[in-house]
Amino acid sequence: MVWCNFLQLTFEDENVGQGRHPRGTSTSAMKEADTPPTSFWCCSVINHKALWLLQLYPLSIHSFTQVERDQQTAIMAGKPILHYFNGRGRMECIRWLLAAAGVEFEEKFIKTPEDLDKLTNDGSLLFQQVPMVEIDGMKLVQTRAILNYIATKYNLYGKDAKERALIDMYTEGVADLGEMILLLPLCPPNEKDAKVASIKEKSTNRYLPAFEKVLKSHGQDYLVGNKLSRADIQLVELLYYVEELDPSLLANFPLLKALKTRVSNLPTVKKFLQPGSQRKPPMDEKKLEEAKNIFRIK
Amino acid sequence: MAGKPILHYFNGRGRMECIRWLLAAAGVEFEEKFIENPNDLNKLTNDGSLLFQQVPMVEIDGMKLVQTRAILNYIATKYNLYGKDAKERALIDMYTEGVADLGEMILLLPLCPPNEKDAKVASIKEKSTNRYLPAFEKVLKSHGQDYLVGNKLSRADIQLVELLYYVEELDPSLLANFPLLKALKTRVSNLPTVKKFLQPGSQRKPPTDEESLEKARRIFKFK
Repeated sequence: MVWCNFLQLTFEDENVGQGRHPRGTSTSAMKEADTPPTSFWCCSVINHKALWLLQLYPLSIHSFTQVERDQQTAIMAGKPILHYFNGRGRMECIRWLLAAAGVEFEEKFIKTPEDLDKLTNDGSLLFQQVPMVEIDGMKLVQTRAILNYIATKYNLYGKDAKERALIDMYTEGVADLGEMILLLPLCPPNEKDAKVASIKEKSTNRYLPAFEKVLKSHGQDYLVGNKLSRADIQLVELLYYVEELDPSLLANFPLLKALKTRVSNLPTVKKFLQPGSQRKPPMDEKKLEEAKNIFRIK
Repeated sequence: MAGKPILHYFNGRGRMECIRWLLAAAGVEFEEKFIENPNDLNKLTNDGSLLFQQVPMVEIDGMKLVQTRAILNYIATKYNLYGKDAKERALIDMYTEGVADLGEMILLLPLCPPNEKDAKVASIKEKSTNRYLPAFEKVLKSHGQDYLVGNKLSRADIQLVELLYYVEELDPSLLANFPLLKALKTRVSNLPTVKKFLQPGSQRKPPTDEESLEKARRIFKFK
């Protein structure tokens, strides 16, 4: 039986809308449909999106899944594609920056060690590691390389070398504290309390005062050049994590709290902070096990 | 305002060495103010010179820059060692971050507890041989040019060659199967500025010995 692409599209959209995904996971999503689901015969609604895509994909016997169509759209529209597992990890700061910049992006989630092997074996990962972001014809790895490129592209990296130097100083400080928080779930249980205490101490005595002082020194709305930059976005992201750890940590830093509110109210950030966005929740036990499995961490 | 940059650190490689390499390779003369004891570090902290109470700190062009990457980025930009556009910068960043990852493992080796040391060394050798060196060899092979990016010397070449010296110090045989990397190492080492830096009497620092390590532990107060 020849599958009409148009009708398949219609069916798929129906299914997705009702919370049923015909393919389950992203790995199996790349396979073609084998047999027509029985509910196909019940589908009679013509979906306008399907009609639009029909113009792009003439009738063919290949049936696209929703994931494949999203990726094709992403490639054609030039949307960045993020390769990582479905969790915060080292990709979250990239999601924040893209979202704050108002850039739509696609995500291809790594669900198993085999997914990661596949990426490695087809030469996509320079150092066999993710994050990896497909953007502007490049397959970029290394979090900082990716952040630097995005910040430059969307004018969030200051106006000259001196502003960039300030931004880099601030974002590196954010990264240092962020790294401690990131690695906390991997900490052996008997060391955890000490680690948490250390993070709180460093937040209170080293990092938060430094940033509060910067804002105080010029009294402007943003850290550098009186203009939103990646430094503000990355710092505010960190403030959310500090708050998650212990809300009282932000108590004595009024200018940081004001920055957090200000940045959170920017339309793009506000949208990203709402449920249903691509922002990822804190790591729970289950997610941690998944990550350890994928990345083969003991 | 052509004052020389002033580097504040202890008298050892640590996190300042890559900055010394980059300045030297760029032909930039610099001064060093060595931190000899915890008091020196406290003094710097107390006079507000250290944004996060940490060194490296470099006084340059009226700024007191901290954070190794911020310093490297500024120097690379200032001396045209950071590519010609955003895409070249992206490649350079990818490569230098890979160099930094392996470099960090080697940097922290002296701090490793004695019973874990052999395993750590084995891990570094394995990652060098299977992950990092092949990646850079492949880049050079892919375009056949003399330098990693844009057919022109950049910070990526300088930082990689510095790393190759450390890999060689750990075990010379590690470089055996990477002819293009060896050629790059030779080529960069023969540049007049680098050649001078590699000679005795330059500001290049030797490997960290026990005495230096103890001094660093005291100054920076880590166990």
